Amino acid sequence: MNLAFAAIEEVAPAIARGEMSPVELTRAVLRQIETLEGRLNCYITVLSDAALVEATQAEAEIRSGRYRGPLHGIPVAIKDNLETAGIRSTAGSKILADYLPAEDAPVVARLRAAGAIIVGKTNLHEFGMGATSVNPHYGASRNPWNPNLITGGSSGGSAAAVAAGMALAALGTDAGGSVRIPAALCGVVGLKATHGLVPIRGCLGASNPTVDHIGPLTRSVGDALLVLRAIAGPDPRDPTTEGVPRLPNDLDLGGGIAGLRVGIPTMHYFDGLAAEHETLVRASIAELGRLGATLVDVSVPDHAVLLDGVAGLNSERLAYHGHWMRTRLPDYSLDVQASLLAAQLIPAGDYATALRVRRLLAERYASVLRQVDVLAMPTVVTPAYPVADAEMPTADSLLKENPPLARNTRLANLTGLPAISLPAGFTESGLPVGLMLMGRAFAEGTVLRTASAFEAATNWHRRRPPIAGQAGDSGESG
Amino acid sequence: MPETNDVTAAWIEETIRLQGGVAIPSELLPRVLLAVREHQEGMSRFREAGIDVREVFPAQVYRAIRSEP
Repeated sequence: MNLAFAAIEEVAPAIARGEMSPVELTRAVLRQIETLEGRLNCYITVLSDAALVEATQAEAEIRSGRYRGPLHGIPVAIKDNLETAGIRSTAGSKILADYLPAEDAPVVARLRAAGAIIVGKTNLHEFGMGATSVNPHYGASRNPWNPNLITGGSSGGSAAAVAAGMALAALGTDAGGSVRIPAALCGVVGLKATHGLVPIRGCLGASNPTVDHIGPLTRSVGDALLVLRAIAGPDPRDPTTEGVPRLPNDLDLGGGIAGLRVGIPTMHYFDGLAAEHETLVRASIAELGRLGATLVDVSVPDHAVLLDGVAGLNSERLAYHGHWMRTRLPDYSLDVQASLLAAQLIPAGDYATALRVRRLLAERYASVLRQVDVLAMPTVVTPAYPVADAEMPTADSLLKENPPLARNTRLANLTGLPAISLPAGFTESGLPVGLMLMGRAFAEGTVLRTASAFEAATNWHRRRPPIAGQAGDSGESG
Repeated sequence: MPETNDVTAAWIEETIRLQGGVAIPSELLPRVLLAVREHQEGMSRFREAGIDVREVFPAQVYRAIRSEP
């Protein structure tokens, strides 16, 4: 067994019993990073020495009987737009290339408190403002299933690292799909909980605190729940978490989904998919039916024009970036520059309208989710495509139409609803595709239980990228 | 604001100047023009749909989506 591909839920009991060494586990992950980082570019900063010190401390604590829980001694990665005390946190930007935060983001502090070992800070699309993770400042992150292809983004480095055994889990951020898009394209699990469940303070470049989320990327649904448990909960300095229900302690991933009602949206979600891709996703949804769920077509009235009406929200990013736009505009990549500059032309009235339209959209999704328990759909409209097609942005390339990678994912951000992407099959060329499940607000338990039942029935999550096996003793592992 | 097809690079430059915004480098004007036109088209479609938002209150989003099974 290659320890770098261990599932947290499987190794944690062995660590607790002192039968598995956090130091050896961390060394296995660092070996994987050393071997593959040159080809995949998952990390902006690797923390090998610090990780080994932390792992040694964790091992000593556990040996002395002070086991903290299932993340104790587990090597994890943190997206580089999350603040880490004394460790540079660039947000994938030139502007913050030397930024050393004074304190950890709450989610990072909570992982540390749970005993996790931080092995590095992962690459991303600059400031999280894009879905390819082609980054002119730190290079493109590369897809482990084919390094010529994009990882998706903006949490591309986190997803690729988890897929390639370069971390057992990672944190990503998600303002329009940035956890779930790369999870789908890299063949891992990506979870965005209901807005407010996980504090977002310490997320750099947050374009809009009402759509930003932080969530785990893992190799199994069970591992996603373990990480979510560690990072969820109110933060007194983060008003988005105020008055939000806590994650129940008794969430049970077992029990199956017999009798569950699964909605299949008839809106845009399947538009434009290649036949092979659509077949895989529809087969995955049919699998939910075989597992006992009732499949029901559902629709949200006026969906397309409501999405037109929320376009004004794009101006919110100006509140964060305005100062640097005036003082350091050339330090942004061209695609981010264009996006920010165009946002200046959004009339204030359109922004005010967008706030109300988003409320309507949320109400209509809530109404649909009174008829069904979860919605099922493709995470992304396309499998991964060549980095060369995404290319480092130039003024000319910005006029080219790229696949709308966030088209399906952004609805869960606009509505705040919980959503998960999980591996749902592979194309003939060996690329993963993702199934996305959306649920009712604060019904993470139902979403995760559905995902877990699908995962147990299919085992797509156990496939490993061929490149990943080259670094260790085996590319196959449970 | 002019209708979609009347939005030009010159109009954008003048609007930015009058509003005291950040000047757009000439090489990025075509991309920004495209984005402004797309936004205009979307808002035109939204207005034509006649959806009334006057009585919609944009509260914290989770309060809108919380629902009993």
